[in-house]
Amino acid sequence: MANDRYLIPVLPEHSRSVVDRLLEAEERETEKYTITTAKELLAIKQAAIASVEAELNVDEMVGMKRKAADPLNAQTKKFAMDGSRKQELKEVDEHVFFVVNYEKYNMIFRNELVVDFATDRINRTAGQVVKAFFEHGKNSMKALHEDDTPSATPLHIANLLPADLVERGDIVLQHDSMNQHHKPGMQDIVRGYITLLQTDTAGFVKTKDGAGANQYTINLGKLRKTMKRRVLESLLSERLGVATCRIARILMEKGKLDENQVQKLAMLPPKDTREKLAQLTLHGFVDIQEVPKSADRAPGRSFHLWYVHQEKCYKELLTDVYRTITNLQQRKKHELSLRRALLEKLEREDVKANMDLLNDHDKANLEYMNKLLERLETSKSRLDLMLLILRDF
Amino acid sequence: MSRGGFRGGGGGGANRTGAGALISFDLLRDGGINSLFKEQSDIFPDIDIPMPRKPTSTEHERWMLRKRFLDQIRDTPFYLTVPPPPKDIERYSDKYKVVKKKRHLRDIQTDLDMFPEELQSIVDPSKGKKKRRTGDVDAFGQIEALLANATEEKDEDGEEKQGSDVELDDDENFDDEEDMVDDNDYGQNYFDNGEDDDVDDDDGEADYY
Repeated sequence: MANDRYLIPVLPEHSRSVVDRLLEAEERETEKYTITTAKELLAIKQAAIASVEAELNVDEMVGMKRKAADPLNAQTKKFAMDGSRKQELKEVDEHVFFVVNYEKYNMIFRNELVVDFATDRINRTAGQVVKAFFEHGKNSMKALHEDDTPSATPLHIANLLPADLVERGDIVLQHDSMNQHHKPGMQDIVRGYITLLQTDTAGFVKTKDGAGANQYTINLGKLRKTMKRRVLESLLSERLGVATCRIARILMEKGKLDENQVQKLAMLPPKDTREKLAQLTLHGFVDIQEVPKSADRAPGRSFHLWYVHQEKCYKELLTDVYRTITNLQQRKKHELSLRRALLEKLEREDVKANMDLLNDHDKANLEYMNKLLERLETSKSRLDLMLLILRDF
Repeated sequence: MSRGGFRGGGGGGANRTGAGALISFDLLRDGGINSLFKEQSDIFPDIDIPMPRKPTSTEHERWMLRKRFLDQIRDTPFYLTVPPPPKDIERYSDKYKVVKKKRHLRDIQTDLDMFPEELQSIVDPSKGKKKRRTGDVDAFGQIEALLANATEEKDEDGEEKQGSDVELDDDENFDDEEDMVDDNDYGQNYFDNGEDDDVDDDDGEADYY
């Protein structure tokens, strides 16, 4: 696991605070000069920052040693920057501590979510194409906030897809006018899907310029926005109704609108629009911008424009999701405390050895409790996925 | 979904007296306008917990893994629990309620390098605290050394002259040092030792300074 960076080694430097390390590096640099001028002070600071960052970003396999194939060159800590990326499996040094590399796992979960989104929106094959893109770039993506995956040509993608794609026939391609009955080959299907993904407004795939012909990448920047908006819209429509969601969408797309314009575009009677706008304001999704008509800002004589501030909405949603998760957790605690007697019975050794000692009533209760806990926990994990989109994407 | 917030709002709202009993805005927002007039309902009502979709098989597996993980964490020495109170009377079921002994936190081997320096002496009494010296910057010594280098370079005159020069320089440096030690220019800016004042009084008036 350490080879694939699922685990990363912990160095003692990691447990010293950043400011401490910076100060130490500065001291080291200062020792080189006796009297310092202002310019030299600046140079010292920059050199200190550079050396601290170099320590942190060392991309080596600390704590791994090569299998003792060549005993002359084996060392316990070996820098892998010397191009030894051919996958020689290195063994783990026993004295080094490791820690889970959360970035990598977050990326895996995020990729899964994107693939699911593609599958929902288009079809299963499109999801597989997106998955192939991610597989291609798996080893070189380091952080969640990157905007593009490494670029890939249709050939690469075609190599990574299962062979039965050709038989599915779920994409209609332009027929080659010369051979009418020529079945489309793998390459053509792949190219067709990539074009489809490219033209989709959700922005799955885009061309990467300057890297040669036919290079495509997954457009993570645009995907971020699309997925966040999708979460927002679905929550709005579930909680406040479809019409309210429609009004919010209109405002998001058009900018700042007057109440009459909103009413016309939403095709609702004016009383309803007023009610729904008030509801949205109460929940904090919509704001008012006052544009005065005269020199004094009398509210009676100014335009009031409604608008949606997207960042604020996302923050509200985030707090709401946190609150929901807290509620679920509290409920779980409450349910467990209600069933304390049952839990104590379960802790007994003779029951652990033989579950049949419980009578039927207890067994039914136990099953119900497990079902309850499962529901609570899966709800929490689904909300956690939502958090991934909103916060960590 | 506002059940959790109810408790905090009810407790806080009930304690205030006088004008302006503030109510949590979240309760109003979630419950609608009429929520305050309804009777207080349970925080955790006894209903079957609703769920939009059934857990899929992957979600089921994940829950099982998570359950095992949580149980494992409870067994590690890192999960600190209050030791159980001593028993009052012996009971029959005590035979079956054996509590597994967990490892002590101290038994875990660790690299002391990972801990901050201040804590290392607590875990392992033999390691004393590293005392940090403040950087003794010998400013005078540095200037001395530089001047000594400078005078040695002009090495055309005899050594005696050099010696005297160096001594003279020393004296001058001493005098300069005394004035330069204080950073404030009080002596130059403010102190007026009255030498320059006129001795004669004008009409015997009091001097306003």
